[in-house]
Amino acid sequence: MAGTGDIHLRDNALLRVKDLNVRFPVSGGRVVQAVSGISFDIMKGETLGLVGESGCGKSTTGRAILQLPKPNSGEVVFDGVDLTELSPNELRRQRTALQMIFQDPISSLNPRRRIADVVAEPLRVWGPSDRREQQLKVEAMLEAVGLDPAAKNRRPHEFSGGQCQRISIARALVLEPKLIICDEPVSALDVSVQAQILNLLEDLKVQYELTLVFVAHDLAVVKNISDRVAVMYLGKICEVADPDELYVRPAHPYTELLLGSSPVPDPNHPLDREMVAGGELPSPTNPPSGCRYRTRCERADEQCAVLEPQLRQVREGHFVACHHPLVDVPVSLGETRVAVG
Amino acid sequence: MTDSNTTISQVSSASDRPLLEVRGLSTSFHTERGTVAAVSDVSFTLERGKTLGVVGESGSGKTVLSRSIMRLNTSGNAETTGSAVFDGEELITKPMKEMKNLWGRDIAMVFQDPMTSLNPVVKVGRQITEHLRHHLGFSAAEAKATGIELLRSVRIPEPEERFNNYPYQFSGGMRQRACIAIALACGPRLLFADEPTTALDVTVQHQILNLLGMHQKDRFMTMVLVTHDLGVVAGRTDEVAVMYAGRVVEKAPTSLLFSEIKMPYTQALLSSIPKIVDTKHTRLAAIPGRPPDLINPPSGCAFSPRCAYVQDRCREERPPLADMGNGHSFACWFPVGSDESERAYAHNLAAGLASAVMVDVGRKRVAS
Repeated sequence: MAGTGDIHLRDNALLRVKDLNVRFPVSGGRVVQAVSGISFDIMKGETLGLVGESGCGKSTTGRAILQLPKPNSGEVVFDGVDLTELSPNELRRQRTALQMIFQDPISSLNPRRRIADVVAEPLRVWGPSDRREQQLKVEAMLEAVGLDPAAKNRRPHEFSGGQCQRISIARALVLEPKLIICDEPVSALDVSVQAQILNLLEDLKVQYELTLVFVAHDLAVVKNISDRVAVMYLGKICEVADPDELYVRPAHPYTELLLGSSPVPDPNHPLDREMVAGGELPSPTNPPSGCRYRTRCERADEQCAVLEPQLRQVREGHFVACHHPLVDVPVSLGETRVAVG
Repeated sequence: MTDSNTTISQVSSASDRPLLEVRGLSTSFHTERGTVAAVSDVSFTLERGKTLGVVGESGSGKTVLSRSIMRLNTSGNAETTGSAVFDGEELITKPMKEMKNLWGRDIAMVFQDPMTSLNPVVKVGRQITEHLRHHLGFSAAEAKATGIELLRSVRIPEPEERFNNYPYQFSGGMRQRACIAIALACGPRLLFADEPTTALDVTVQHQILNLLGMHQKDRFMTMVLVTHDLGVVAGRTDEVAVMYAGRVVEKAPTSLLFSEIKMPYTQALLSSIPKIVDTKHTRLAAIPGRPPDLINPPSGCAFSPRCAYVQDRCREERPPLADMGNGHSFACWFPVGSDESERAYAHNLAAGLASAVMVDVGRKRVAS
C-alpha cells in the first residue's frame, strides 16, 4: 500500500481492528513501524488470511489482536469490547475467547510436561474445578484433533511435528474460544502433513463454530483456507478481497508479483531471465514516502511518492490501495462505502 | 566472471563420459537408538550440463545423499558405502586431503541457511576471494576484481561497496546471493544446491532460482537441486528423483514424470499440495500417517502403510526400482494408471482404508 483507509470495514463484525499501529524501538533511537495504520474486520465464522513476505507485519498484526504486545494506538474491538481499553484483569478474562496457534509446534510445547497436562493447562485456570471433568474434556479434545487419547501421558518429544501441531490445536480449543489466531501453523511441516492440518482446521472450524485469523506466507495455503485475504506489505494493507477473486484478478502490482513468484508444479513453466534481481524490502525504520511499495513498483510515478493511496473498492468486496491498480476502478464503487458480507 | 573458468568448463565438457555416476550409494548413522539407514542403495547418472532435482520430505535422505557424495558427513558415526565417480575419479574412497582440492574448485555447494553458512566475522569479499586465491593462485588484486564481478553477476547492487560488508549487513536474499557467488567463484563443474531457497521469501526465492538456472545454463554447469517442493523442480530440472525413506522411489525426465506419475507416493505428494488455481476451501488429499522410522523401517515397500493401492505383496516384498526403458524408473508393484492398481484401489476404498479415501477426495476434486 500501501495505504490506509477503512472503506472495507463491515457492520456486525466479530472482530474489528481500526487504525492499528505497532512500533518497536530499535538501537540508535530508531523506530520500526511494524504495523502502520491498518484496519480490517472478520465476521463470525469467517477465516481471514493475512499474507505477505517476512517483515510485512502479518505476525505482529496477529499478536496485536491479542494485545501481545499492546498496540501503540488503534482499536481492537472484539465482540463489542475494545481490548485496548481493558485493565489487565479484564483482558485476562476476555482472552479466554481468543487463542493462538504458533509456527513451531515443537518449541511451543513444554518438553517436560505430559501432553494431557499441556492441553489441560487452560482448564486448570479457567475451566471446571473438577479434575475428572477436566480429564474427560482433554481426552475429547485429543480425539477431536485426531490423536489417540491413550497417548495422553506421553511427552512432546515422542510425537512428530504434525502431531505436536495437533496438540497445540487441542490446547487452543479446550476453552472453546470464539477466535483463533493461527500464526504460520503449517509452514514448519512437511507438505504431506501440512494437508492433514489444513483439513483438520477446516473441520474444527465447522464443528466448533470458529473464526480464524490465518497468518501465512504461502499464497496457495492462504487461498485454500481463507474466506477473505488481506495482502500486507511493510506494515500496510495493499489489497483485500475474496481469494477466488484476488488470485484471478489481482488489482495491486504487489499481489501480482507475489502470485507470479509462486512456484508452479508445471515442467513447462519457462525460466525467467528477467526476474533475477531486485526485490529487497526497504528498511522498516525508514519506509518510503507515499506508497511504501513504490520503490519496487513498475507503475510508480510522482504521485506515489507524495500521496499515500487509500483503500478503495474496485469490485464488490474487492479493495485495493493503489493509485494505478491493475483493474479499472468504477467511480460509483470507489467512492461510496458499501457493506459487504 | 573470469575467462579462465569458462575455459575449464568447456574443455571438460568435450569429454563424453557422464560427469557424475553414483552406484549403490548407502549411508547409515550409528546412534544410541540403533542404526539409521538414511540413504539406501541410490544410483543415478548425471550428464554434463544437466540438472537433477532430488525431491523428498524431511528425513527422506535427500540432504544426506548430496552430503555423502561430497564427503561432508564427517561425524564419526556415519558410514558410506557404494560408489560415486566424479569425472572418472572415485570420491567415496578418496583421502580427505585430496577432497579438499575438489571442494570449491570442482564441486561446490549452496546450503539452505545463508546466515549459518557464511562466517559472521569475516567480510563477504574475503569469503569469496578465499577460494580464488587458494585454488587458482590469484593475486589479491586479481581476486578482488573477480570477487566484485561475481557479486555483480549474482545481482548484488553496488558490489564495490558490498565487497567490504560483513554478512549481518546483508538481507537474507543478499546473503544467499553471496553464498552463490562463493560457490561459483572457481567455476565448479558440479554444484549441489541443498534447499537453496527454503529460508527465503517467495519473491526472493523466485529470483534466486532464476539466477541459479541462468548461471547453470550460461556456464554449462551440472547441478543437483535438492528440495522438498515439487513446484521448485518442475520448471528448473532435466530429471527428477523422488526419494522416500532413503531410497529413490521414482526417477524420470522432468516432463515425463509430471505427465505420467507411476509411483503412488509421487502422486500423493503432488495432490496434497494446495494449488493456487484451486478454489478456496478445496478439500486437500492429505497423505495419512507420517514418514517411517528409519531405524525400524516397515518391511516391504516403505510407503505401504500410507499408500492407497497397498496390497499384501507390498507389505512383504520391497519392489525394486525398475526402468521402463524410456528413462522412467519407479519402485512399485501396483503403479498408478495400471489395471492392477485400479483393482487394488477399489478394493482398499471398499474396505475404508484411510489412504484410499484420501485419494478418492483428490479424484473427486479433479472431476468437479
